[in-house]
Order: sequence, then C-alpha cells, then structure tokens
Amino acid sequence: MNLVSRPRIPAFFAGLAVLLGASVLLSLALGATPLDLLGALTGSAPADRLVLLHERLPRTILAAIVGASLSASGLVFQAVLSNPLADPYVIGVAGGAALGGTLALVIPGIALLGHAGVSAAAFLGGLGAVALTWRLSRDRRGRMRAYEVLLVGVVFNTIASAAIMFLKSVVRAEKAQEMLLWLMGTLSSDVRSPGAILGTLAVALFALGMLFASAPALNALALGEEDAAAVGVDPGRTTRRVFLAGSLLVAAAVSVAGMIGFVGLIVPHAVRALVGSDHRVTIPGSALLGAAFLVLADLLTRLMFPVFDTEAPVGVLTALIGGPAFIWLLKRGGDRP
Amino acid sequence: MTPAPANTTPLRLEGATFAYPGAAAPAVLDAHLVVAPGEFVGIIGPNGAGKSTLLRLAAGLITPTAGSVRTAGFDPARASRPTVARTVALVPASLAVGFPMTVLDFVALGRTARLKGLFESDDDRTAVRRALEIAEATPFARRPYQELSAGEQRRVLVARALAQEPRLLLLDEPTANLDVAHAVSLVYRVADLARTQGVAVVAAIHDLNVALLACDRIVLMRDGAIRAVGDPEEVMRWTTLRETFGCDLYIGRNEVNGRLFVVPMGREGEPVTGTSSRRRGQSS
Amino acid sequence: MARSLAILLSLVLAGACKPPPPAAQGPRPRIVSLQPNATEILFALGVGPNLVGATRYCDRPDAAKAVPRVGGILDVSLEAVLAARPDIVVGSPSVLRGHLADMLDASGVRRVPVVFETADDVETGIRAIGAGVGREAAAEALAASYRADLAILAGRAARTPPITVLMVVGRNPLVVAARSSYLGDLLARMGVTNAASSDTMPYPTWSLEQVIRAAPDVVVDGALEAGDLPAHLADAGLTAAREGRVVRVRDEALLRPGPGTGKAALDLADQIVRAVNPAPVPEPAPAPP
Repeated sequence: MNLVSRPRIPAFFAGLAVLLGASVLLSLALGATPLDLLGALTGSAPADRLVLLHERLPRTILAAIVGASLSASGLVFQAVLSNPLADPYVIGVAGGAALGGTLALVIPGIALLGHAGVSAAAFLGGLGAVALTWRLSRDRRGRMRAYEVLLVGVVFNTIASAAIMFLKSVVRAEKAQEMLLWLMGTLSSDVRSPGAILGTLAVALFALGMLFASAPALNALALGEEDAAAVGVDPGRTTRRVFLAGSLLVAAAVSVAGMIGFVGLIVPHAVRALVGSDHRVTIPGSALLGAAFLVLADLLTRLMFPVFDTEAPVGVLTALIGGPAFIWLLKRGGDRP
Repeated sequence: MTPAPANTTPLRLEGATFAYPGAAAPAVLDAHLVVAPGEFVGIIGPNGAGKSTLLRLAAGLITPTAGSVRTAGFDPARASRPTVARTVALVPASLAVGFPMTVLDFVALGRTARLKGLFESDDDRTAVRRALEIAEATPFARRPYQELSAGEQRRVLVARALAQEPRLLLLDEPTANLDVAHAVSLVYRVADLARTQGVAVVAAIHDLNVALLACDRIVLMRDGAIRAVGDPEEVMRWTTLRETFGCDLYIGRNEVNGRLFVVPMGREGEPVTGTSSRRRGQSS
Repeated sequence: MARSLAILLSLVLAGACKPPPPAAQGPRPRIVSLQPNATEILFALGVGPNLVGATRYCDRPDAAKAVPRVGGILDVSLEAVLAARPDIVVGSPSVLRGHLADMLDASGVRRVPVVFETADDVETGIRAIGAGVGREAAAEALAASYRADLAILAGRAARTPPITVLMVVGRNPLVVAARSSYLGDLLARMGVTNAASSDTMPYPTWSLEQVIRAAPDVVVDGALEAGDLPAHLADAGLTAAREGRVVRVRDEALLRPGPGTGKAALDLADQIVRAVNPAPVPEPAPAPP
C-alpha cells in the first residue's frame, strides 16, 4: 500500500477524525431539549449536568462503539464471504443475540436483572449462534465454507426470528411492545452504567485490534483461497479468526443496542469507494466512519423529538439517511477503481 | 530474512502421488524429481498430464496421498503457510481476483509472508519494484489489475511471485496469453534470475518452443506419470513425443542459437517424410 | 463539507447559547405524568395546571392535550422529563425503573408508581396519586364516589340473571379481556360470566372459532376502532351477533381506570342486561356523558 504516496489516505483519516470529533461534540451539545452547557460543566445547573454526564455522554460513547463495531464487522464479513451484500447480521449471530435478549425480556428470573440481564443474555445468544454456525458449516477437512456459512446463517436467523415472533405473540401486550422497541434497534436503552459502557468498549477494542492484526491476511484472501495460501496466508485460520472477532463485535453491539440495520452494510462500501480495499485502511476507516455515522443518526433521532413526541428508532434513521447517501456515493465513485 | 541453507535441495519429489477425492486414476503417480539451485526445469505434456497438480504438490497446496515432497528440506503441506511462502512461490494458471485492486497492491501481496508488522518496509518496497521490473509490469503498476489484458495480468502474477523472493519458483503456464515477444522475454528473464540468483525454477509450459528456449532440463509428463527427464537433447525425441502427444512433431535445431525447436507435422497415421534425426544430422 | 460543518457548528453554538427553559416557575409542585389515565386523575384532582409533562397518548380531558410531551408509554425521553424540571413523576412501576429511576432519584424528583390491574386498583391508585401530589381530600372524595358506584354495581349484580359475556378490546387480531385483566375484574363485579376464562393472559388473542365455541350471550365491543365488529361476528355465525346482542362501550372512561370508571361500569352493566332482556330495569339508567 505505502509504495506510492497516496495523499488521499492521510486526508481521509484526518477528515474522519474531524467528523467523529464534531459528531461527538454535537451529540453532547444538542438533544431532545436545550441544555445549559456552561451551567452543566460548572455545576451551576445540576439537572443539566446530570443529563450531560449521565445520559448524553454514555449514550454518545455507546453510539460510537456500536457504529464502529457494526461497520468493521460488516466490512470483514463482506471480505471473507466474498459477498458485497453481507452485513453483520448475516451469519446468525444477530438472530442468536436477538433471541437471547428476547428470552431475557420474557423469562421472569432474568427480566428482574433489568437491562444488564438482557444484554448479557443477548451476548451469550450471539456467541452461541456463532458456535453453532461454525460447527454446521465446516467441510470434511474442517474448513469453513463461505457458501454454507451464509446458508446456515440465513436459516438460523429465520428460525430465530420465527421464535421471536412466537414469543411476541404469546406474551403480554406491553412486553411485546418492549421487545419490538428493543429489536428495532435503539440507543435510548437502560445501558448507562460506566461498567456496562467500559465492558462493551473493552470487548469492541479487543475485537477491532484482532481484525486490524489480520488486515494483511484479509488483503491476501481477496486473491482467493489458493492464491492466498500461495503468498503465505492460511485461509482457514484467517477466516476463523476474523469470524470470531467479527462475531464478538456484533454480539456486543446487539446486546447493548438491539438490531440497528444498514450501518454495517453501507459504511464499508462507502469507505471502499473512497479509499480502495486495503484492509489496513478500511478496517480503522470503517470503524471511525461507522462511529461518526451512528452518533449523528442518534443525535438526529433526539433532535426530532419535539416534532414527533418520541425518539424514532435509530435503526430506521440509519436506513433513511444511509440509503440515499450510499447511492450518491456509488454514482459519484462509479468511475474509480 | 534468513535464507535457508543454500545447500538444501530446493525441490525433492520421492514417489509423490496424488489422487483427487473420488477420481478413478491419480493425477500424479510416483513422481521422482530433484531440482538443484539455479536450475530451470520445464514440464511439458498434453492437457491433463498432471503438470499443474505436480506444481500444486510442490507448493504444498495439496498433500501427497503417497510418497513425499520436500522443499528446501521441509514438507510444504505441513509447514506453516508463511514459512512455505518465504521459500516457494507459485504463479497460478488462473487470473481471477475478487475486489478491485491496483497492480502495485496486487504485487505487494507477495510480501505478506515477509512483512514485519502490518505495513511494508523499505525492503518490501524495493523487492516489489524489482519484481515489477523483472516481469516488465512497471509501466502499468498503478492501473487496476482488472482492467489489464490477459497477457499483462499474467506478467503481474509473475511479479507477485517474484516479490516473495523465493528459492523455488513454480510457474503454471507463465507464458499463456502472452504475445511472442513478451513470452520470450519473460522466460529469458526468469532464466537469468535462476542463473544469477540461484533460484530454482519449475515451469509447466504449454508452448514447447518457449520451453526449449530457456530450460536446462525438460520433464515430460503424460497420464500423471513422468515419462522422461533430462536435457532437451535426451527428451525431445520424435518417438517419445509421438507417444506422449499423439501427433508427429518435426524437431529441428535453430541455427542461430543452437536450440532445438519443434513444428507440428500432421495428423497421426499420415505418412511422414523425413525424420528429425536425419534433419538433425544434416544441420549439425 | 466545510460549509455544512460550519452550519452544524453554528447550530451547536446557537443551542449552547439558548437560555435554559424558565426553571421552576408557575404552580408547585411541578408534575410529569407517564400514564394517560394518571393524567386524567390528576386533572380530576385539580392539579392539571401543575402538569409540566405528559405522554403523547394523554388526550383526556381536552386540556391535557396542551401539556408538553415527554414521549410515549415505553419510549419516554429521559432528557425531556428532566428538562421539564418536575418535582413529582407519576407512572407505572415498569416505566419508573432502571436508568430513568436512577436519574430521577439523583435529581431529587419524587416517584409515584401506580398500578391499575384490578377494579380495586382504581381506588388505591387515585389515593396514591392524591397522596403523592398533596391532594388527599380531593382523592378521598373521588375514591369514595368510585366505591359508591361499585357498591351499586354489586347490588345490581345480585339481581342480574346468569349472562355469559365476551368483551372484545381489539378488532384485528381479535383480542379479548380475560378474567385476570382489569376489564375482566369489572365484568365480574357486574355479576356476569366472562366467556374468556383464561387466567394465564390478561388480554389473549382469540380466533373466530374460539369466539363461536364460547357462545357468549352478549358481546361487548370495546375496540374503539373503525370496522363493523357486529357484522363481522354475525357473518362468522355468532348467534349473539346475529340476534343483535352486541353492546358498544359508550363511555371510554371504562377503558381508562379513573374518575369516570364507576359510572361507565354501571352504564355498561345496564346495557348488557338490556341486551338480554329489553324490559326496563327498576332503577333509571345513568345518562351517557
């Protein structure tokens, strides 16, 4: 990559850093209601301080983590499955996490634990689904096959969503409503404690680091399995490592924010359209752009509150803004490699 | 990189056999071959003779069902992929690649097993530049690989293998799709590399005349078995070629460079006038 | 890009410079209600003007529509609640928990959790809200009036002939009020037999087959939606519907546990009895509001 000077890449990362910084500042400064920022910071407005430090700050960090996780995992799943339509939810982990979280909302014992229980159950459900996909999609020599991963993932997601629909139809109406809100993807959840935020952050950073370390191998994998092996990459090992890291990211994201769609599909494509397909650039690039994108989308849901008297689910907004933005990018970048 | 001891044999096949799962006959049967450093070995034979399978065995991409394969002393199918890639490079026969990529990025992937960290060092950049030069791919280094002609793509594949700085270079049809000037130029450059750097080269080459131009030794394969090994004079006999390819070939000697050449003569069973040995006798 | 960023930044500055909303002016205590029927009760207790926040479903009485919105039932905006600078927040315990509860406690806001799952909960709920906002006397009067209505209902129940009633609260899918629901409890107080005898779910979804097999004498249409439920059930072959014994809930207060619930229950009980036996009952029926 660094063989010729590529002025676009430093500029790209500088732009992303500015974008993310500005998004975070905007997300802290603006919201459903005006805030006395000065008073909040100096402490002269205790209620505003509470909103800033205990609501907007954790929520913004959460949005950034979830956006980065979904985008980076979407990117690497597209790469290892050689399928540009792959998204973070394609490999069954999402179905597993959603089912785990839903069960936790329904089962009285776990429901008592509140949102922490739901998050933990969703995380475990996601990892359980990955283990299952993993076992079911190996060939005789123990290698994962992309085609079967996709197939098992799609079937598993269908089964999970049917199970969720079933649960939804048999529980009390207000429980069903709560499940629906969670499944649509929302950052207005109860996950606000420093422990929960730091835990999610730690899992996400670990998995992102793992992905970044696999970037050269992922680049080689674009050559196809045999050519990748010829240049010194073990395709099976790379695929397994990337799946594990990607699944950790998705499970973490779903467990704190439900199913936020579209981010993991379009951000990777946008990044590739801007700077090409070197994973050493696109992995951190997708994480940063995804973080900024979701922080802004979540901010928009809060800004829309005075109009609709509710915060629209952020997953709906990501698709509404992301879709047209993506098509614009596609048309604009269409003549570039 | 610490190179393996120079005295280890780059490639040693001992009874190497490989059968694809479910296939009636093995694709490679009981192959014995030793390739020395600096040697340029050409594999010739009709379609389906087992040339590509032999190369894949040597690259460790498949595990022999019987016999053994050793590259610089180790088993390439069991050693870690980076270890193998630092010793053995393979130029595959196919040209496909998934995502859009520039030639430079594509060739730089040949350095994957030699990266110290995640990004290329100056050494890596130098190796890539040299590989592009040797393969005559420098002029289109910044163009997207997908947009190149088949012949240009073939040269880029060779450059990627050269960027690995291997001790054993395996080429599967390196001159396919190349025009005559580039085909000749490529085999000469590879031959130079073998002579000056001591790289052992094994190439499956469809075009017999290209093979004869540069190879020190010829391996003749048919139906998975090695039928003859030796220098061109020994192997390129009219009867042997007729048995192997099922058609009559006129074998002559190029008076300018002293190399042998072949020309197809006609369909099997048609009367043949003159013999290669007589013509050879006349020309020498 | 740079220009749009500048515009965005100017927005931040505008937002930051905007003076905070006038804090803690107007009548005390400042109240936020996170439940529509609680809003209605608060107005009935005379503290409607103290409401500084309500849900977007709080539309009774009409004055409630002017109260600033803080979200829905489950999708409450914490920022909006805190920005209303409330002293008291009334709502269901399933909403007043978790992070919202923590933040309210940290801001020194008093939480008044109220549950409305049985007929008796209406009385205790009114009292709890009254105690929460310092209107004990007014709450006592409302509660007493409701208790009196229930007593009349019990008196009539003793004289009510055996009637099987199915109460429909949702049209598509067909949702009915079972015995364990608040509406089921009211039906029981009326002395009628609830055709939906399930105890596991308060509001189960029924198929037409179940409705026909239950063969209720009277169907109560509590689904306040468009669509002709009686015709639908009559087409399906339900005898009660064919013979015109479908009663429509005339007073929405029945569905919202609050000040008007007692009167609405008396009205419905009267309608049910008339549907079976058109002869006038001894007491005059209360006029619909």
